[in-house]
Amino acid sequence: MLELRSVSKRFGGIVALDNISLKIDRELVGIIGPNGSGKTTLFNTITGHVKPDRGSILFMGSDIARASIEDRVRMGILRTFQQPKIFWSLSVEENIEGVTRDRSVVEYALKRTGLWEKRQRNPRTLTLGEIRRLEIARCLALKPKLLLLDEPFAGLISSAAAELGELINDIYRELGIGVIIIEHKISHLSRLAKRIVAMNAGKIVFDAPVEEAMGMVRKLLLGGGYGEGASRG
Amino acid sequence: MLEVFLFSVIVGLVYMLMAIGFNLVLGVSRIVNLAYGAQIILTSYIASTLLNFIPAVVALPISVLLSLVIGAILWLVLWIFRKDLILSIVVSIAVALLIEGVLLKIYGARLISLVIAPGDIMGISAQWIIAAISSIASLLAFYLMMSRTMIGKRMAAVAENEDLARYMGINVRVTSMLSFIIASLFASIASIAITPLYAIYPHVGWYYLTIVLAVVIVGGLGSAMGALASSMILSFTQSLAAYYIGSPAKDLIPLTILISVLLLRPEGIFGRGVRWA
Amino acid sequence: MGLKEISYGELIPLAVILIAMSVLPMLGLSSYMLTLLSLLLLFGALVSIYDFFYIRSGYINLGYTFIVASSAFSIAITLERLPTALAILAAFPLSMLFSIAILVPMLKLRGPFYSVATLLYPFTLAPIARLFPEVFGGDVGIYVRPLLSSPTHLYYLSLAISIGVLSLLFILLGTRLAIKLAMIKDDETLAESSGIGVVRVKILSHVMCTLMVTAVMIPYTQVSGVASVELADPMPVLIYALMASALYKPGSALYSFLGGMGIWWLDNFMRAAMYDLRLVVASSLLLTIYAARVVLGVAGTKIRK
Ligand SMILES: Nc1ncnc2c1ncn2[C@@H]1O[C@H](COP(=O)(O)OP(=O)(O)OP(=O)(O)O)[C@@H](O)[C@H]1O
Ligand SMILES: [Mg+2]
Repeated sequence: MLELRSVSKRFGGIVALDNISLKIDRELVGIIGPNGSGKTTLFNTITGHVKPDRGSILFMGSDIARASIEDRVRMGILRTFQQPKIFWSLSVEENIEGVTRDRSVVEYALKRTGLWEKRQRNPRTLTLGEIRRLEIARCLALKPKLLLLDEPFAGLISSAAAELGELINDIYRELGIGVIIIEHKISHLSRLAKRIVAMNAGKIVFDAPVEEAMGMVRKLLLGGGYGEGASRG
Repeated sequence: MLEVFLFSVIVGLVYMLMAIGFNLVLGVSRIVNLAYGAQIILTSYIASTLLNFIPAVVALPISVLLSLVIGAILWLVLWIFRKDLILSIVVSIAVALLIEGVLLKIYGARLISLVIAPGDIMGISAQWIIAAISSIASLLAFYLMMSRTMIGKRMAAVAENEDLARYMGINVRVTSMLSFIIASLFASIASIAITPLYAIYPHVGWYYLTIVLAVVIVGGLGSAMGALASSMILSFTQSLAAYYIGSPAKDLIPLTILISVLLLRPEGIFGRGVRWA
Repeated sequence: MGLKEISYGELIPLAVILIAMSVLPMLGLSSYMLTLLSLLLLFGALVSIYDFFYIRSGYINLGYTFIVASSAFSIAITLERLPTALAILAAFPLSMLFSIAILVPMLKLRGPFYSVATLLYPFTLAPIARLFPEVFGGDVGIYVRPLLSSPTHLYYLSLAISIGVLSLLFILLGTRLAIKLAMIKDDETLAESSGIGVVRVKILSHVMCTLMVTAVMIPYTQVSGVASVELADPMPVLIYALMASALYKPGSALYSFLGGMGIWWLDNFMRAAMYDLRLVVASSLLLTIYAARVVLGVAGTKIRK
């Protein structure tokens, strides 16, 4: 469904993406990697927030490297951000109403994410887990074909993380879409993703089934070459 | 023709002095001080009153000092609103209007001028010489301050990365206030240098603001050569336009240059100083 | 919040005032009073338009008076050259033409950049008017051909246009455009990532804004009798619009109408009683209102990260 062909991106002297090639189908893929390894930049090039210096990006067969952010959204590429991003001055419901005119879609998105009862609420009164679900609800309302989630579990207590993981998994199964999740800790992905892509310094270090990946991460950790689970502020 | 040339050079130097003050505040404090034009003319108004009573050697320093005090108060107001860039912009407009209103109330809408040193020195107006010397001296002093002193380095550090500077133990608030006061000092000196050349009335503050914005935006932040070049280009094109097209063209030029540059390359404008909201 | 910002209950005071204002002329007001009240209504409408399109979207347009003044000029220019009906029709596209200039920064700049750039626009009008006095009448401005002679008729025209503008804004408040503008203010990047056609929303709202301002300026120029560059001064229109919109529920459009009328009333009083202090009082008021908003913690042009 999505294919990146030798995509590169530099920021000044920093090589954020170094000749990345990647193919993703209707599957749930995890991306791991230490701070600054280029994970978010990878998402940004897929969604159009960052223009790659080189390489092409194909989505459902067409080259989207030049398409605008909005066009890609219309094609079904939807994302959340590393820092939770919602419309803070709008109510929970309006956050969804603003993106679709279809009332039943609003209802579906909020019910599916368990926020229907809280639809009148000011988002500032939500927990982080609920905010993350609201972000997903917004994506759902826009009919995703490929869902990109940037560190959705960061900062969540384990019960909320488990709940969110379940939601993501259910959505993935129900809609039969592609889902890519960025995570620091492979442990969050072990029961979700079948395939793990690991990045470091803008390169893909390995791309493997999850069991294999767990082993490789352990080996890298022992060898000291890889900062798994680096704590973040 | 030589006169026009010399005049343009001097005016260009004064423009640069004005712009550097605005830039400093923008860079160090991330405050877009739209009251800067009003600050510029304020000093001349104070000086014009004091000159009625006391000789220039006393009157001018006092009026500069008074302007600095007002500058410090203004800093406090803008500092409070600083967290919200747009809010602080609106507030700085309010302050500009307040200053304009007070000047209108006291002096009325008529033109005033400053006469500091009548007469010529070797055929060149003494006022011009004073304007040239004071702006060159201030620009040099600024250069030395930024490159040789602790204050200058602190300002540079805060401009570069405020949080980092704070970790390094720099008092960001004091540094910001200092930068604002230094900017007010430049505004004052520029004021005393230029008012003998161009008469002013309370509304002229807005005109000087557009000049300052034009120099800053066209020249780009942090580049001394850029600021010098854009000051000179502005001053010369103004002289030429005033000569060949007519005086309204002179007012239109900084605006036209500014708007075009703003629209063509917005990212270069305030450099790293201001983030996109 | 958003859509539910204005409840019907909150509309009652507005309705009462508008109804009262529609029967006022029957009390035999002087023509001076009628003129003043007409300006009051029209100014209220200008403030509401500003509040909805600019405060709501977070694009604090400091060049609003550029649109106001160029609309006034458009009307005066067409009335001078064309028969009435045609002139009024032609005024709209002409003012659109002028205001396209100020659409450009809206598409290219954000936040403070946008505000500073737009601030400069009105200042271009005075030198332009001086360079082309045959068209713009220099500093004095151009005379507007009168269409209605009776102040009562003018008053009713002003009332009708104000109510029209308010109704339109009220309808817009209930549409998704209102939510989209608030979304753009909250987080433009997220709005783009949510499939909001940000550029389309901006163009649409700019066009609507200009058309509405032009409609308001038709009676306004009739009342004032001239179109001049003075209208482009930030004082009074911009300053009072910034003030009135900050008074209560910024971006909600309808309340600023009342605020705008109130401030205009105060301005009229100041013009009569203490003309030379007008600027001082107005700017101090603006400072006070914004300071109060910060102190009360309700300030909100900030785009949260
Ligand atoms: N817009 C930008 N401008 C300049 N440098 C950038 C930009 N975006 C990313 N970078 C740099 O590119 C590198 C990769 O950043 P990226 O955000 O993609 O890493 P990441 O893997 O998402 O890290 P983290 O785990 O911290 O989120 C970093 O060194 C970062 O500083
Ligand atoms: Mg990241």
